[in-house]
Amino acid sequence: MNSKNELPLVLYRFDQPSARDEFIHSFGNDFELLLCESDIEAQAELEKYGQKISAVLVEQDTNYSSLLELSKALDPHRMCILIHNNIGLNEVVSLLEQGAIDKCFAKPYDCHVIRSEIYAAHMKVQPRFQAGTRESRVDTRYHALIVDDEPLATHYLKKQLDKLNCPCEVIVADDAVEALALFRQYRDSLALVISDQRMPGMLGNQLLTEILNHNPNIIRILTSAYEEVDVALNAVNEGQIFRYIRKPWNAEKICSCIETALAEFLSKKGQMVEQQSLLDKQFQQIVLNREIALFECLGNEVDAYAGKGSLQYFFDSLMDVQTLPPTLSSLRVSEESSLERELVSVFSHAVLTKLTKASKQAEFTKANLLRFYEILSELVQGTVTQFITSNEDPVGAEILTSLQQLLESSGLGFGALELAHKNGVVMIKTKIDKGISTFKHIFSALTRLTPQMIEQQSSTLMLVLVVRHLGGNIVIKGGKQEFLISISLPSMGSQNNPLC
Amino acid sequence: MSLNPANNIRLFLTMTQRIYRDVLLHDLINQEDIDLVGESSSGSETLSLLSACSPTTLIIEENLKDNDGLTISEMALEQNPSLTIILLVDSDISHNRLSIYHDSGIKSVVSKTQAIHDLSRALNYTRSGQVYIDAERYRLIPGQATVKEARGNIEKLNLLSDREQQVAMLIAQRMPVMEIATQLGVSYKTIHTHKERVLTKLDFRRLPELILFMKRLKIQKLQESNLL
Repeated sequence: MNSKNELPLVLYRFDQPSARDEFIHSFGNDFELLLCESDIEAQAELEKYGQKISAVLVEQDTNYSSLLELSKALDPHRMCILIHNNIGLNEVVSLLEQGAIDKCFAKPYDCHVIRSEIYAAHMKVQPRFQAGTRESRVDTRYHALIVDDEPLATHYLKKQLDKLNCPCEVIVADDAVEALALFRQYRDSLALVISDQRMPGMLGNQLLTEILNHNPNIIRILTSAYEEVDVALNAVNEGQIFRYIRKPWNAEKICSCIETALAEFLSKKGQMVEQQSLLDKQFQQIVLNREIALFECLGNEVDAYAGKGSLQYFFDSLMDVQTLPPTLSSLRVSEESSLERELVSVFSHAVLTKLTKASKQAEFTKANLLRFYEILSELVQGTVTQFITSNEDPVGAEILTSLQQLLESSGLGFGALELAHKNGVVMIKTKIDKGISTFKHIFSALTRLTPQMIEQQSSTLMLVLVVRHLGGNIVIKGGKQEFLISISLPSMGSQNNPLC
Repeated sequence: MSLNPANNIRLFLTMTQRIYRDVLLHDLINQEDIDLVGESSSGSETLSLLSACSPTTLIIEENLKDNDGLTISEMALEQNPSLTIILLVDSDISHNRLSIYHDSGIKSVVSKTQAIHDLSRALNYTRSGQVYIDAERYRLIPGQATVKEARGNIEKLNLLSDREQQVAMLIAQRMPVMEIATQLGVSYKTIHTHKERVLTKLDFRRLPELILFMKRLKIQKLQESNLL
């Protein structure tokens, strides 16, 4: 990863000194600039600085240099931008076929956009993984979606492609609405979309941008019967299209284009799966380290108070709660910031403070178990809304406090609980539709440490500890971004149990 | 997934303080192409409202009462990956933090202290799902920008004395320093000094850079320069 404090190194190839002066005026403060008047000079700089160069910009009036192509050959991930005065559709199509440009801006250019693109390239901002599709496996053929408002043409093309043994199963849509429905239906097997530009409703480039935002891996191809350079350039800049195909369609050319696109799709997908599997592995190690560190800080005190295995039970329960999968950003936070250290120290401190307080409280007696049950009943029924605790209260007060904090963390009140007693055993559980929302927990992929999360989970742990300390039983059932709690407080025997 | 032929921004705004929301909205909704479709003061409420309101853009505060804005943003993107999210931060942030936000899928980061036109610009540039990084955000930890103009190779070579040029040519032919010294009838140390000067004058750190430079020079102008 490059140092984020450095300004991006940008190679700028120009023809006219006036263009160079304008460029320096616009970006002199934003980037480290390497200015080259010839391809030979630029090539030497590319070889000299290698991957340190974040972006290559070419501004030429005619005869687009092969520099962009060369830059892509040397480093396919380097941003290549073409600035032009009056580019033709032929050049755009040809540059796309060579895979030589990422962005193409007309003069006068918008400095803000170019700056932003280069900063993003320098920071290596990547499209976010789509959790729903990343693990999907397709055993059958991949699908190619063709979108055009001329059904006769698309169906004829489909027939021809089938005859040519097209590597993808071709599906067709008459407009963007149908295309998006098919996109949802074939989410796991869709490899590429070929869309016409002019359609009623959503235009082709808008459709491709929408698909890009949902799944950046799907290869996007625009097609049109009109010579619309602006549309093609918008599609390049916003929808990051793979190719631009002119109408009328030639089935053989489209078939060959589908073959290339499928190879590109499989390569991107392969890279993504590999990257995600690496992320998962690294994240597992982070979780293991967190667990060990928390055991070291809390293990002795917690086991002494609530019995062996209490902390492990809590950790295991929490890990059953599904939260968002690890991402590049969460990994970066864990590796490059003090979050891991802070998490362990802040969480341990919160738990130990509560544990010290709970240790000082008196055990349940016949009288205060009854009082505890009465207070809880009133809170659940809503006849009272608040309770007051003090250090002299028995541990029952700690259960009330922890429950309240837990419910509040999820925007709930005591009304979300169900209360019962049977044979002297007090049963408290969260209603089935009132789970405790947990978007992130201490074993999640974290990007930030929040007081709300620490408070919620230290309260949950305290609840586990106090209940186990009293000899009761607590079950935490993890779900998708939430968990349910079920507590049974111990019977004190029929003779002295007021609830019998 | 939305169909939005008019390409208007369907805005959802999440900020804890009502008064800040009002101030922001007062300026934003005057713009013709922005439709306010929902607002909220908390993260959980935002998540529960998003599918009903189907916004195209969510502006969300980083520090919320119940959750942090980044977590809510990640959850919202899980629901709808094409949602454009602009994060409002309290104060200046480091480059690392900025990278983390963008890696999480945030399209733009705007400071609450920035003027409204910065937010408008971010809204406009991110409307089709592009990342927008403001120069001011990027330069919070300023670097020292430099401009290096590649002069013509010949021009560069003119920085060298005749003897240095001669030494550079022989070095480019991979001739060992000792052999160059013998050929030119001078000491090893003299050639070594020439070599160091050549590298310094041409701003090269390593010998291969010089060899590459001379190679290109050969392609470009060697015959005309008639140095050999």
